[in-house]
Amino acid sequence: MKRLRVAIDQLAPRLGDVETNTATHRASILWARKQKADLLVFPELSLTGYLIMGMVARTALSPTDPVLVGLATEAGPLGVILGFVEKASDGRFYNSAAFIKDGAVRAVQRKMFLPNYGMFDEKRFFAEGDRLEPFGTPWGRTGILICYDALHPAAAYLHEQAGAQLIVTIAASPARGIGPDGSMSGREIFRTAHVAHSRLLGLPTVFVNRVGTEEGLTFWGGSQVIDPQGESLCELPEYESRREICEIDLEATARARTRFPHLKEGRPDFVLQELWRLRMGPRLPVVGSGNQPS
Amino acid sequence: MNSSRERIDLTLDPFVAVGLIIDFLAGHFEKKGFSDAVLGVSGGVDSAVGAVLAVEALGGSHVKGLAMPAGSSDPASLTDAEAVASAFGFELLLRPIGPVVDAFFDGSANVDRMRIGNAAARARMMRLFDYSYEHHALVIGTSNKTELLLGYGTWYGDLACSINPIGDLYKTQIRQLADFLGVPAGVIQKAPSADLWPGQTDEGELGFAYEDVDQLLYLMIDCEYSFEALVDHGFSAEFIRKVVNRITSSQFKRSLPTIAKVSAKTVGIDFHLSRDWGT
Repeated sequence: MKRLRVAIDQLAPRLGDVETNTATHRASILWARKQKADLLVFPELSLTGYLIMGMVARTALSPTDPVLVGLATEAGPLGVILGFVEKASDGRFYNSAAFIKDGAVRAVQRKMFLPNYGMFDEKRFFAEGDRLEPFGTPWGRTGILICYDALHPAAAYLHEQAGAQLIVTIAASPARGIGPDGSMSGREIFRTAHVAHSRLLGLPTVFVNRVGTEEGLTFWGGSQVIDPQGESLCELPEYESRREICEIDLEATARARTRFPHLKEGRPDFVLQELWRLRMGPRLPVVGSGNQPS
Repeated sequence: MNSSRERIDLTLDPFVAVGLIIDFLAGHFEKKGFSDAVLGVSGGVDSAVGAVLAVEALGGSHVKGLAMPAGSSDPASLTDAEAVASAFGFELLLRPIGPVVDAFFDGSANVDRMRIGNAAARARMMRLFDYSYEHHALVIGTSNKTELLLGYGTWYGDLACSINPIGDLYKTQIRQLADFLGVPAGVIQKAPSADLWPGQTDEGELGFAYEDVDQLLYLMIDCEYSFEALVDHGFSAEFIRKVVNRITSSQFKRSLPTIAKVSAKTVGIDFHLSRDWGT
């Protein structure tokens, strides 16, 4: 496959209404299939909405749940990435993404970094994922990041080192921090991160952020596909529910990585050694603590 | 207060801020199954901005303003409210609350102006929520961030509403957006007042200017400056303490009533359900 036709759908889920959201997903899957898309991407927690809070157990699905299998059957050869509350067999709940295709859930990626500051309270309701792993697809290995994961550089680096040729970030990012110059801190940080991932790691990135409101939060959308040079291939408007098709030239990845061989020179053994030393080695002196010999 | 202190630019990109709030209002009304809004229009800048945002989100025919003067209200307030309504194309209904307040206190002794002011604010709240029920219209609140943080409002009075589009905007930011939206200059420039008694002004009652307290609140709340950092920035310790005291002593106005925990799941403590569930 030389070109990937990716459909991005920045919908606004109904909070807690899995049945209605499933129908919305089904309609979008039919649309994407008609458009001959290879991959359709929905936002974070697209089947449930974001502020699930104490109702996590009531919206959770196991990866073999008929809701997911049904959507996977509708998808047929179309690959679909969606967000759902995952009910694990040990009773824990995860903020997860499913990659579904040809009648089954092919991969599940759990959110690694749960925001628990300011307006965010995810650790109260979800368990943290402990494995970041790209999965095989007809267009190459694909790694998923879920919202705040994308703001931790180590996560994108790990995907790259594990062979990802495409990084898909699904998000439920609320608008906040409007400045005098049209800046909005929620947007700027994700834009910066995705351009950096694409350019540094030499791969295309797909970012799908939801729209709509929940309580006082307004999710800003602005979904985007970025090529390995950091150039925007497609950008959806902010605050509007919208879906669109975008074509990614998969051969641009190899070209970008020839020009800037970050992957070849990523030195995972060195990173591992240094992380091991930081975590397991002798405690390092804290600069400015007053405990150092002068 | 040190007049030489560096002033922080609190302005917002008005297109982004207004666009965000309009989307928020339109989305909320659609989700909740309401197409109409009602709000008190006092003739001041906050309710003017609230009304214009509602008109932009819902259309002028879906917004009703209630002008609710008390016996002591300045007649110029009503004139300003009418000017805002005619400029932005929504209907203003005159619903005086003076007789309600008079009847309420008939025969009462020791009625001071704070009691009258609170009763007037709560009489307006009753009018708005009665209109809400009768006409299936959501009540839009217009307390701004400065007032909310300082607790400058009547609990279950003007603080009561269904939804508040301007509660995360400081007073100085409201003035900026009002100018952008085309609110009449006279409404923006006049001294802010709860208009509860003749000659009352917010700044006279609070003892400081919005321009100053917005700067302090922004650094203290949004930027999490410490007391020492605020003093270093040029605020007097007395001013900072006064504002901190107002914030801490008014937290009850920003919260549900405290409930004694007895069971495993308690409303307001560990019953975590979004009010937007199912929408």
